[in-house]
Amino acid sequence: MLDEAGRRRGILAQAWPAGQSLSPAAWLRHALQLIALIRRRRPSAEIAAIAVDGTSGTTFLCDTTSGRPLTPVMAYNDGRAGIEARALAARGLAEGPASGPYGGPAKLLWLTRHYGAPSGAGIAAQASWLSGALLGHYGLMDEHNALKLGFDGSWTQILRERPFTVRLPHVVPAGTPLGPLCRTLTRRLGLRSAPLVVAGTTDSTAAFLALGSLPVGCGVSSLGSTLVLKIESPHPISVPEFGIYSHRLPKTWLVGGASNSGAAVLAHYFDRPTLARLSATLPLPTSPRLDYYPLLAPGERFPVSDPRLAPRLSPRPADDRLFLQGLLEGLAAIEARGYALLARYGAPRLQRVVTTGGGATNGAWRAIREQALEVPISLAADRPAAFGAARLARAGWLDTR
Amino acid sequence: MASKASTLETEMPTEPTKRLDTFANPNPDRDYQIHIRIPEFTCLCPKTGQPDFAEMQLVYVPDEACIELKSLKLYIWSYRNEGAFHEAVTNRILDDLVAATIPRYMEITARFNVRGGLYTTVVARHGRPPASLERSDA
Repeated sequence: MLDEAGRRRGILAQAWPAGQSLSPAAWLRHALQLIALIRRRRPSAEIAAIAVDGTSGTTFLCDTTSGRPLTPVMAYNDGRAGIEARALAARGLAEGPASGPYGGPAKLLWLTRHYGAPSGAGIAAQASWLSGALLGHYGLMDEHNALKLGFDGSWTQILRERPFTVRLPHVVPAGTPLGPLCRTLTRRLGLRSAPLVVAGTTDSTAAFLALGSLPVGCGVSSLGSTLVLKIESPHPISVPEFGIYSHRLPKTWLVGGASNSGAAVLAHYFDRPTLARLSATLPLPTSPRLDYYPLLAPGERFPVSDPRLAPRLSPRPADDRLFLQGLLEGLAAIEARGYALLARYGAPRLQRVVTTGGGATNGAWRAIREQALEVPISLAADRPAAFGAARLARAGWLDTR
Repeated sequence: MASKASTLETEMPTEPTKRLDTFANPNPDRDYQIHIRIPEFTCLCPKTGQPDFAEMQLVYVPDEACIELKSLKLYIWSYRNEGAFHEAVTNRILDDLVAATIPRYMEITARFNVRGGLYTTVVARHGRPPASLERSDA
């Protein structure tokens, strides 16, 4: 929650009961419970606007009139559509954020083949469906969530050809005011007036927006299970062959790429206490140049786009400290290469880096990254992605005043 | 004596660094200002290599994080032997502090000592001061 001046006014969270994370009805139920909770905790406050962020690439088909789901939900990391991805690649959708088994077109083709696509069926993303449920009408989608589903200024031609017969949502920029919360829900929640529903965004873009305004040339590295790099640019950059894509922000573009490497590789080799214990001894003043490329499985998206790129994790020294240092140096080299690649294609020159994600607090990793990136590195205080969505809601609300 | 001096040089307990550390803002619900006076900033003139001196005034409204003072001291110290134009170094310090703390508002005023009969003051700002607060020149 943010107030009208943009100040943080609190966080209310609703834990997901097991087995409900892919249920649209549960998404709506939990969203309404959160709104009711805000009402109880802040009875004098008025909810002016709401925006939703959701996992990018989580998709399904729904009835565009009633919103009723017509298929199960395919999560962002559901890779069942491999055959469909290869078929689409043969037809020309081989590169870009919407390509591959995790992209929207392959998943939608898989859903259509397994569940059919009755008339009135439309594409939904997690955030767009929930926004639609709040509005009481479906058929709108924010541009950020649409990117991975096949929208890049317009919907990819492949989605407009057979066998696709589904309705494509109208795409609007994130932060666009969409309309008031529907009357039924406004009444049911006992709200004095209907909050404005504003077009939301993806989780990772919301995490960036949560940070607030950053200086030019400030990269944001998310050291989560995977490594995601972002930097604001005055113009969009799209280089599908290197996994570089852009999200539109109000005045600039958010350019970035996501590597399959990341802290998940560290977690694969070391449990948390061991990682902390070994990290406290690093970096060692001298170490062999191991030149690792840490991956859990073959395949990389950025800064190398090669679905067959093999992990490079040998030789493994007998001393675990050296092995961990080699892993951290490999991850830092990928990060440095990523920012260099973004700059080569026109992003601002990297001058400093803000770090988010679970790996941000690892002091050894930070020291090794400072050597590799040769710029100051800072650590962002904990700012949940929901703040980014709240900022969008506020921006959309200010637009209407 | 020479070897003792050398030992002292290599075993300084603290070193200048560009790393800025932060701690959590204890009152993020409120807009309030933090003023930090930095009276001993020094760097080198990039043209002549001669030392320049400035008094800096940092004013900011924190969001989630506040700047940790020891790291700020070591950070300021890191410019002691670097060549930098007044304008560039003031803006760079502001950007580094913004990246470290991501404040709601930040302003830095660098009043450089006389050079060639001229005094230069550089003022750089990030964001807009919250409406609830008056801008302060304190």
